[in-house]
Amino acid sequence: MENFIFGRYMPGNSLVHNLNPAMKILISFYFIVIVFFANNYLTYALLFFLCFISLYLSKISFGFFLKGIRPLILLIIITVLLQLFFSAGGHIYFSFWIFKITSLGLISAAYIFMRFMLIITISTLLTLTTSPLAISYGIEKILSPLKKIHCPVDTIALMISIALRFVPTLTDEATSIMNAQRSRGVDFGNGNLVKRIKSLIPLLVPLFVSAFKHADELSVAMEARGYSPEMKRTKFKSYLIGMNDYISMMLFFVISLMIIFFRN
Amino acid sequence: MLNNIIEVKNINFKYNDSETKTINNISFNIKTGEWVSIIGHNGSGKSTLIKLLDGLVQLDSGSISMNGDEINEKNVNKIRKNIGLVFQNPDNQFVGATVEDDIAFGLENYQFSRDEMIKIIDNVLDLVDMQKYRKHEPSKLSGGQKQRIALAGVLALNPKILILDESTSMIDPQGRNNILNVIDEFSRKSNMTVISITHDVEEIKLSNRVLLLSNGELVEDTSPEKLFENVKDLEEYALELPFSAQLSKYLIKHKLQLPNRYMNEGELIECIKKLYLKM
Repeated sequence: MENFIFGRYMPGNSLVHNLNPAMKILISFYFIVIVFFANNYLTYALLFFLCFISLYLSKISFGFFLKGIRPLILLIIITVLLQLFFSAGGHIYFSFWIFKITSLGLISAAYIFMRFMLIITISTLLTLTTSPLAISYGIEKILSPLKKIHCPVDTIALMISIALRFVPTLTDEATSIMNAQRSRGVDFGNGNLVKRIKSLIPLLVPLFVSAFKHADELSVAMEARGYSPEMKRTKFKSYLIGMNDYISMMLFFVISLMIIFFRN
Repeated sequence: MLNNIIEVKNINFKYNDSETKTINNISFNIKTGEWVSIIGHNGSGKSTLIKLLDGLVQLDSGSISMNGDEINEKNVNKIRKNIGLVFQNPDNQFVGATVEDDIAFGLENYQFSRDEMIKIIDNVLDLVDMQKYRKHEPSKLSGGQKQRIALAGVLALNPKILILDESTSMIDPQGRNNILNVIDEFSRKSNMTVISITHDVEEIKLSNRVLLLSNGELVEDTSPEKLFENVKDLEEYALELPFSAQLSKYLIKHKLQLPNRYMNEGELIECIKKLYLKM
């Protein structure tokens, strides 16, 4: 689990790290959409080229990255094999019971593999270069038009950032509760599945109680510091949209135009 | 200039689910710039009193005035801006994901501009000596450091009244002294009024006045020196004797000729020195 990097954040100070988070999220989604437009080797090559440039500019080492997404390979292989054995059409190379390998199957398996790689690369890159807080800021910015229809976007963003802020606190508490229960003879992680799930109860009950206590006291503290969900608040954190944001947006846009032009 | 910043008149309060009154007909005044300790057993109504002062719960009867304005639902936000509250558990008042974000939280609520915030955060971080932890996450700070940030977040709004709700009870003695020193200095400089709920005698020693609550009633309004002299059994009031008093009590028990009154550490050292010269 230690070198599993999918969804983790690696602090850094590269071009990609310093992009505007809202922009980065939008670009990543845009990229995922255009992945599905690609349908020949040239268009896939263009997308891989784009991924490679992003990865290079993020200053995250290539070997580290590959090692990090290795745990996902199993998922990719299963999907690719399913595609390979069960898609029909074209020339049949090999057939056994319900399995057959066909020319179309081979091609679609290759495409699926490439799509997977592209999507995993870009989304891993997004979380690797954007702190959870910046992601919640980005989501807030992206959702801000919803304020017009009275959707409490600020409150939702604050909730996300408070939830993220309490993750380490609750992890620490879970560890100390586990130690306390171990010293009373609770055996975590041994026995069959039912037994293991049962042993989680003495962990989860105190953890929930303490989470509620945190929430209760935090709400009083927030109110005492002048927080009121109805009131307008100013923002301390601000991410400007700089030249690099426009350049990367243009780059992704141009490549997507090329893909639409070159696809069959 | 010592006029009353807080005037509390005949207040009563009862929680919905409780049989007895949590606050029973309490009245007192607090002067601008005073440091007042509130002591008493758990459940004596100390924390409720604080919440009433900050308008976090509503009075059943009586009145509380801050700077001449009586607290009501309309002006509670304006009044709250002048009151800084630091609670007991440092983890349960840390809102931001980093130190500077947390200090900014209160400023954001009162709609300071971003440029003002940067300036103010810089100042208060210097004040609590945490400048180099600016970008740190709360999980990487000690309890004392977190409490200093909580204090910084409150002082950023430049409150006229600072209320400490057992703020130093969960942190180590060194961290505690550190925080008390910052508060002492700041309150002298800006004539800030301090109200502190505490079980800690060292903290009481810093105050000008002590209010003792018992079962929701105000039973004593005195000075710390008088309190330590008169009260025979401090544990009765959920207090521990200060170290100097513990030591002199112990020495008197062992038949050393010491005056039987409360002395601070300096006075006690002088007495022991004299005693040593006589021997």
